[in-house]
Amino acid sequence: MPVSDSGSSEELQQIAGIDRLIHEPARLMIMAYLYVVESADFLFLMRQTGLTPGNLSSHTSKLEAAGYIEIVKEFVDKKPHTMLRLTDAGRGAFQDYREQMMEVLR
Amino acid sequence: MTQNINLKEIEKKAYRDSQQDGLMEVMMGLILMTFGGFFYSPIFAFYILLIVFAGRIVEFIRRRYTHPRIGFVKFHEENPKDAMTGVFLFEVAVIVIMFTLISIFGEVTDYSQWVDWSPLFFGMILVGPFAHAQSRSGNVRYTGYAILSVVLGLFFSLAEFASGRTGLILYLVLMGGISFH
Repeated sequence: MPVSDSGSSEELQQIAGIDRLIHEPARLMIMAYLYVVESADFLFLMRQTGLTPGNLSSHTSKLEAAGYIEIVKEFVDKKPHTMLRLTDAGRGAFQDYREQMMEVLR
Repeated sequence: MTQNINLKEIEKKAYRDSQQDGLMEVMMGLILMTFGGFFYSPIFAFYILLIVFAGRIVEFIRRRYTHPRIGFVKFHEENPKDAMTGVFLFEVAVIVIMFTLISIFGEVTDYSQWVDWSPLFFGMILVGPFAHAQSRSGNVRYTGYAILSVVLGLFFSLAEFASGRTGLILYLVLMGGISFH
């Protein structure tokens, strides 16, 4: 059915405005997990999301490049340890994404 | 809202998984099991320190032995002021309940009455940490522990022992053993 009235058109435009970076399922899982905690390490996220190390690394790099997450690499007892946390921008983007999705699926 | 419920569930699952090593429960069980034995001992002051630093001791062990396997997660900290106020109000409520109970069934100025009822006192105090663990993890097992701690506390308070202290020690050993489970 063609979109005739302006109200329906505006609603459909909201879908186009959804953050595609977060909308991808694997990244959405990562963002959701980091949203409910203060920080988590790579291993914990891997176990929670079920992603492979390479997959998780690839997605977290994209989120880091967008400024949504912060990745801190450190050494604990001479062993590498990677901590991840949501930035303020990431937290805001995730909240916006949730609100948009609720609005679209209302 | 579904989205809110799901995020809460994710948080609870993350909490449950972060506690899957059971170290905190083992620590709590050990503290409970030995608490009664040291209650009248001069080293009890050091025991208080052990309780205060229990979280840090567990964290130290986790850093070395269990985090490398299950991963590390840090949760948002509760407002310390709100937490302390909550703990304080809860303990005041427990003392008021105990005061009322003892004044009905005995004499509040009689110290031995307080010793006799101490299992129930600790049983009600334990409801606090069990309720907290239940709300964080969503695991109904902790609700069962909370109910059990009060019921057993009442049982050990009403049961006849050679001394009130024996009832308290037996109660704490039993609750410590249950926490290990």
